[in-house]
Formats: sequence, structure tokens, C-alpha cells
Amino acid sequence: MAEALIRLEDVKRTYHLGETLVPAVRGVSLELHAGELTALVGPSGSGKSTLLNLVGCIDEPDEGRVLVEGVDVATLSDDARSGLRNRKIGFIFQSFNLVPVLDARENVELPLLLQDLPAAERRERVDRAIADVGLAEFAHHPPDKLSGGQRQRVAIARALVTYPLLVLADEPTANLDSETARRILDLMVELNERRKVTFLFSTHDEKLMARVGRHLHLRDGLLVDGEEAREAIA
Amino acid sequence: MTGAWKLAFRNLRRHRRRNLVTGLAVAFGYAGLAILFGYGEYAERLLRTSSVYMQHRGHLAVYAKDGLRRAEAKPSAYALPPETQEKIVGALRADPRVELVGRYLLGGGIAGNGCKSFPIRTVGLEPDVEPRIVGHREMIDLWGADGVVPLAGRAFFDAPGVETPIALAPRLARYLEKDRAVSAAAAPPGAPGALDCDAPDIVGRLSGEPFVQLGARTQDGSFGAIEGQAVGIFRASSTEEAKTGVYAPLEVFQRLFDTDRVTYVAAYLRDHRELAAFERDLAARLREAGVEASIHRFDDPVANPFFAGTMAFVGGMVFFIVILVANVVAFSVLNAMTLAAIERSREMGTLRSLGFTRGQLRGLFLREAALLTALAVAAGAAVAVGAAALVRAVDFRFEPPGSGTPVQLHVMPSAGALAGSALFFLVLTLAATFVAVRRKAKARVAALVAEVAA
Repeated sequence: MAEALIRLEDVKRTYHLGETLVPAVRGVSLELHAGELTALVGPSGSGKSTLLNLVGCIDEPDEGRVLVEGVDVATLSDDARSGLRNRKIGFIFQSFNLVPVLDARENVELPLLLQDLPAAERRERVDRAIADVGLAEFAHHPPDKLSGGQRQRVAIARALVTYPLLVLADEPTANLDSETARRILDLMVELNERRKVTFLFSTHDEKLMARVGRHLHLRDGLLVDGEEAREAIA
Repeated sequence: MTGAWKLAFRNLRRHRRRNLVTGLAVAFGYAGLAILFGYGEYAERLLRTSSVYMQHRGHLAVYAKDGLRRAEAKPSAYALPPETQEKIVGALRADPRVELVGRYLLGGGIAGNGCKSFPIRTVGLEPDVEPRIVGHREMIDLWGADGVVPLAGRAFFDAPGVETPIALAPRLARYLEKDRAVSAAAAPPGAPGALDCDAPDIVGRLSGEPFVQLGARTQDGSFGAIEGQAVGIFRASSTEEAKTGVYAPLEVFQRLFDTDRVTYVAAYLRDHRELAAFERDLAARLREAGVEASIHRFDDPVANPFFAGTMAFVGGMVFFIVILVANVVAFSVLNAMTLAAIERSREMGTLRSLGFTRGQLRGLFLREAALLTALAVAAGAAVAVGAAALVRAVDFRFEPPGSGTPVQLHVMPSAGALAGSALFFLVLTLAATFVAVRRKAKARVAALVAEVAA
């Protein structure tokens, strides 16, 4: 079997809320491989967002290791981790997190500005990403002139434009109505099948889970198997 | 990073109300400092010109060794003999940086009108050099063409046919009852003869003739006296000089003091900014020529304590105000940028997750601060120049301390002051911005992304 894109080895992360210690992830090991569409499932407070943050190298584990293509992220400098995020990881946030002073197209282009790309190639990639999410006619709209679904499409295009190894999506449909949520999921499934984009997204929406091949169930900061998860929900 | 300036500019526009307030603080702070620097430059120029040209110190004066302190008390030992004068004048004239060279004899004595006598301070000057000093473009720039002509009568160097022309300081002329006499076209015929100082018409008689008797201890210790003819009243450069000053051609006072020496030789430079280098070169040249001399610049605290003290006071005042303004501006910027960083925590986290480094993130905010400063400084420069033009148009005049001649107030900052202030503000705002965003930029990316905007 090919080497995992991402490997987590007994990763733990505890938050300090004043004098209280809150263990969010309590020892998770997992592997993600190229081309997978994986759903991270669990109730609120189960540690889904923390785990995505650790996988996305925007947080550091207290214990354990996060390896991206076999490289321990902890050995990288902060600038090197920034570069890794820019080139290898795409993020889609629940609240879209678009930059309000930039229009849709400029938001998509933003991560490419950090790369040494010729302007023509940058333009071509942005056009393609925007076309992929079906927003060509809204390219010059600022975020506040777009609907929730359109904003999330911009966020997806921004995550895809750098051709990352992995796209992480934290509750990408939570702020959307069910129809829009279905369309966004359709888009992710299509991108996964057609372009082989690797996705890891968190959700607690049963309908969305049904569309995804691989499920990772998280409970109280630990990965559990499907049966245990169903028992917990019951 | 491509597009960073665009992003910075749009963020400035996005928070335009807050940035307008911050920008106004920067603009008015900048305008205030630029005007203050303009005033400081003007005060320096005024004092420098007064010291160099009106007080005849030159940019630099060469005395015999220890001559500054002792030449007047013991001129026979500490004034410059002719052969030394020749060497010094030769060394000065050989340097192309020197515009003018003048020899001066300072002394003390008494002046009388036949009824009353007063202590005087004499300044012997070279008649062929003095017109170029008094009419120097720097003098005319500050005092105007009308401001450099004598207060009454003629200059001592402009009295052909008068054997011993002297110019009196304003108050001394009044004490001697010669303030009207100097306007007489020519001396009345004949000697005045013995005066009855108690006669009722004595004031009229004294003011009707220009003769002044000058007496002094000669350099060999005997008593010397000459009769001078007051031809004009000069503009004194200090209150003290206004009460005691008498100007005359060098040879007149050399006769009075029975000497061929001078107290010092002054050099007037074409460009005062070359003074330090010139001073070094001259010292070396005089050493080579075997001249033992003391060189004193016009800003030497020993030779010119008034200039040094006043400039120290002005400098201290400017420094104090700069600190005040800098604090106000720095805290305004710090406040605005801290608010911006707090409000935009999530945006900062998003940018970091997209691959922005801490430095690139700080760079975005620093660009915003730089743009804000540039716009504010441009507005502030317009305010400063406008205010300075208004002050000039109002034609406000005042008498500088120690000077009897009113001058027009100028506060127009030079290009250097404008540029220097702009640089100062840029550094200040960038530093304040750096402090404001440094902590946020160092925060965990996940924590930033999770923050809810204020």
C-alpha cells in the first residue's frame, strides 16, 4: 500500500481553560490516503475541529506526531509549516472565512499570491477553480453580495486552487440550508471522483454521511468503531 | 508578496472612519512638528546669521593662542601681530570654501561729547570687507534690504572725506546726544570750542555737531585719544552692544590703541555646512605654517554662549514637544491597530491557514500603517505649508532677544525638515503597528481561526 498522505500517531491535545484542563483529543492514530473522501463524524465537543486543526497543521499536538508525506510536522519551522499549508493543504471553514475586502476571484487567488507563479498561470488556475465550483458569473462579487452557498463555493475554490494533497473541511454545510448543503456535498463528491481530490470533512449530518465511503467516528476525543458510535448515539 | 499593497489599501478603506481619526492625529501631529522644526530652523538661521555677520564672528575666528580669553586684557601678548595676521589671512584666502576674510580689533574705552562720557566697546573693522558682510544675501534674506542699512545716517565705510568716521550704537548715540547729529550732511565748520554744559541750549549744541571724543588705554599702557566723527547709527546685535558699541575702520582704532595688531581674523564661508571639515583643515594648515592659534567657531559655547545657550534651549523645547506629539501619535496608531488586529483575528487566522507566514501577516498591517502614514503626512505637509504661508502673509514681526532690530517670523519648514519629520512618523507608526500586531501574529493559527470577531 502507498505511503499515507497524513499519518497521526497517538496524537493528544488538551486545552487550558483557566486552571481547568480540557482534553479535546486523547490519543488518536489514523492514516489518510490519496483520493479518499473521509467524513469525520461525532457529536459537538467530540474533538472533530481540534483533530482537523492538527491534521491541517494549524495546531500542534501536546503529544504524538503528525506526519505529512512522512515528514514530522513538529520538526518544521513555523515558516516551513506555513509553506506546507500553502502548497499541500486546503481549508474550508464552517463560516467560509472569506476576506471581506476582496471579491470572489481575488479570494480564490489569495493563496496563489504566496507562490512564485507567472501571472498567466495564476489567472488560468483561478479561472478553472471558479469554473469548477460554478461561480464564473459571480467572480467579481464581493463576499457580502454572495449567498451562503456561493460563499462556500468560493471557499472550496480557494482551497482547491493550489492543487493541494488534502482538503480539510470543518462542518462545511453547517451554516447552509439542506438543499445548498446537498449541492456543496455533491460538488465535493464530484471533485473527489473526477479530480481525485482528497477530502477530510467533519459533520454530524446523517444525510451527508450516507454519501461518503469512509467514516471516522470520534467520541470524547477518541476514535471509536461504527458500532460503538451507534451505541453512544442510542 | 503580489497584491499585498492592494489588500492593505482596501483594508484602510474598509475601516475608513477609524482610520480617518487616526490619520488626522498623524496629519496634525506631523504638521505641528514640521512647523516646529521650521521654527527651529528659522531660529537657528537667525541666531547663526546674527552671530556670523552682525556680530562679526565669522563662521570661524582665529585668535592668538588663548586670545579669546586674554587678548583684550593683555593685547600686547595675545593679539595677532601683522606677520601672523598675514599668515592666517593667506591660509584662509587660499581656501575656495572661504567667501570673505575680515580682521577685527576689539577694545574698550570711553566716549565723550564734551559734557558727559560713557564706557564703550570698540570694534575696528575693515571698510572694504564690511559692506559685503552687512549686505550679505543671508542678512538680506532675514532682515530685508531695508533692515541692513544703518538706523540713521551712513555706515562708517560710506563716508568719503571724513578722516575718522565712526558709527554709534543706538542708545549710546542717544546718551551722547548724537542721534540727530549723525544725519548732518557734513561737519559744521570750526572746532566746537569749550562747552558750557549747564547752558540751557547745550543739548541743541551737542546734537548739532557730530564730534565724539574717544579715549582708551593703549596697548603699551599709555592713554590714547582721538576725535571721531559720528556718521551713522548702526543696528546693534545685542542689548549690551546697543548701549556701548562703536564701530570704526580698523586703522582708526589701531591709532586709538596705538597698535598694529588685531584681536582676531574671521572667515566667512560660502556654505556653513562645510564648517567642521574646514575647521579641521585650517587647524592643520596653521600648524604647518607654524602659527600658534586658537580657532573658535561661531557656535562655540565659550566664544558664543548666547548662541549655544539659546540653541540648547530651543533644542530642549523642540525635543520635549516632539516627545509629546510622538506619544499622542504612537498611542493613536497603537490603539487603532490593536483594535484592527482584534477585529480581524479570524481573518488573520484564515490568512495563516492559507500559508501566510507571521512575517507576511505583520507585513500586511505594516503596509496599512505605511499607507495611512503616507496619506496623513501628505495632508499634514499641506497643512504645515499652508499655515507657514499664512504666518508669512500676516507679516508678524518681533525683536529677537538681545537684538534691537525686528524681524519677520518664519515657520516654513525646509524640504529636509518635511522629509525628516515624515521619516520619523513613518518609523513611529510602523513601530506602533508592529507592537500592536506582534502578539496576534504569534498566536496559534487554530486559536485565531476560532476567534469570534468583536
